[in-house]
Amino acid sequence: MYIYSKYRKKSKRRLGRYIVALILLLLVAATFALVPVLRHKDSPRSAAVEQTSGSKSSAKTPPKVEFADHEAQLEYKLLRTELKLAEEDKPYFVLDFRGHKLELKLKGADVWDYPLEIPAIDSEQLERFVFYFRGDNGKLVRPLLEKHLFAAQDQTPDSILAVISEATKFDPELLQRELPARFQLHWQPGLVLDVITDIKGEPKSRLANTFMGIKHTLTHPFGLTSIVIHMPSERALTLYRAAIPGLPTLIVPPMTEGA
Amino acid sequence: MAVNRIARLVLLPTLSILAVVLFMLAITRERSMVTTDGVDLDTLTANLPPERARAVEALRKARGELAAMVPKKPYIVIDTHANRIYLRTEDKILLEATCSTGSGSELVDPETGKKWLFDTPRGVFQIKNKLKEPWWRKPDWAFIEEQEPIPESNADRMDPNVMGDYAMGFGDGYFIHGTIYERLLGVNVTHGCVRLGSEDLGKFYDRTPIGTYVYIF
Repeated sequence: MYIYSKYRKKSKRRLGRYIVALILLLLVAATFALVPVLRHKDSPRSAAVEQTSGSKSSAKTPPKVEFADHEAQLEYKLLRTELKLAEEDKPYFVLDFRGHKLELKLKGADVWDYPLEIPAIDSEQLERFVFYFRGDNGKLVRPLLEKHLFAAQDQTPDSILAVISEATKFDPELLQRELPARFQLHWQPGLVLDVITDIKGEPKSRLANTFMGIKHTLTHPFGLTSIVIHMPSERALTLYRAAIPGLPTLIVPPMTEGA
Repeated sequence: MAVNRIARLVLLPTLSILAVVLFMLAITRERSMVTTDGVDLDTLTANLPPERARAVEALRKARGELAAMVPKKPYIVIDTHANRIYLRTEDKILLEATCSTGSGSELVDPETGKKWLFDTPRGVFQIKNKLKEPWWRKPDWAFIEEQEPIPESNADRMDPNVMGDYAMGFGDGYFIHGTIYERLLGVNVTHGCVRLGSEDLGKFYDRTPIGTYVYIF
C-alpha cells in the first residue's frame, strides 16, 4: 500500500512536470509568435513594400514594341521597378534569369555579378522558383528575409590576425572575413538560393544548422523551392556579406514568363 | 484519479497541439516582417498606356532613364566585403586589385569623449582631386590613437611617408592611396581610406580622370 501510494505520488509528480514543461513551451512559442507581430505594428516601415523593379538586360533589349505584348508590359514593369530601386543609395540584388546572371547593383550600375549557368539548374525547379517568388500578385521584388551560413573557413590564420591586431590596435573580430563554404538566402519560407562554394568549411553552428533543418521540415514537409548554384568562395564572400536581411531583390523572369 | 485521467487524455494532447501550432505560426510569421526599405508598391500598376504610340514612347523613356543612371565612362567599384577594387564598365572589368578598406572600429578620446568611427563610406562618389607624392596631414585621432599629445603646429602633423606615390580624393577627406603596409592588403585595417599596393595604385591613377564615379558597397 505504501509502495503503491509512493508510485502514484511519483507518477503525479511526473505528470505535473510534463504539464509545466508544456506550459513553458507554450509560453515560449506564444512569445515567439507575438513578438514579431508587435514589432511589425511598431515599425513605420511595415506598411512599406515588396514591389518594384527594372533590368539592365531589359534596358538594352528589343527596339520593337508591341504594347499589348506581355513581354513589353513585363519589361516596362521591370524598368519602372528598377528605377525605383536605383533611386535609393543602397545596393539591390538582381536574379536575372533572362540575362543569365546574378547581380548586385547600386544606383543602376553593376557592382558585382556572377554568371548563372541555367542548363545546370533544373528547369522545373527554376520554373517553381520564379512562380513562388512572384506569387499570386506577380511580384517582381521581394526583400531578402534571412541568410544562413552552414559552413565557412577562416580567411586569415589567427596567428597573423593577432600580429595585425597588435600592430593596428584593431579588434581581430573586425578584421576577419570568413570565406563561406555553403550558405542559403531565403526570400520566403522555403524559397531558397543555395550557394555552394569550392572550399570545405567547418560548420559555424551545428545547433543552428539542425534548427534550420527542423524549420524547413516543419514548414515545407514536401521539400523546398530552391536553386542551387556553385561559385568560387571569393566571389561568394561578397554576396554573402552584402546579402543583409531586407536587401531588395529583383527577379527578371526567363523569356517565357508572361507579364 | 479523475483529474489525473482528464489531464492525461485532454490537457496533455491539447497543450501539445497548441504548442506545435504556435511554434509553426512563429516560424512562418517571422518571414513577413522584413520589408524593402523605401520602395513603394505601385509598380504593379505601372502598365503601358493602351495606345501604341504612347506605349512605345513610355517604354523608350523608361529605358532611357535607367540607361542614364549608368556611367558611360569606366567607373571604380570598391567592394568593402571582399576588399577588392575594380575599374570597370557595365560589361567589362578593366583593372582589378586587392585593397584594404575601413575596419569599422571606434576610437573614443578619453579626455573629451569625442568618437570616431573608422569605416569606409558607402554610396556613389566622384574622384575630386588627384595628387602625386601626397603628404598626410595627421588628424587629431591619429595622435589620440598613438597616445601622443596633439601638436600645436601644422608642420608637426605632416607625414610624407605613409600615403604612397599617389592619392585620389573622393570627398570628405577620404582617399584612395598607397601604403607602407602592403602585407595588410586584403584586410579591413584602414581608418576609412582605401589602400592599394604601389603597382596597382599607379595603374588606377593613370586610368582614372577627375570626375570618375566611385561606387562603394
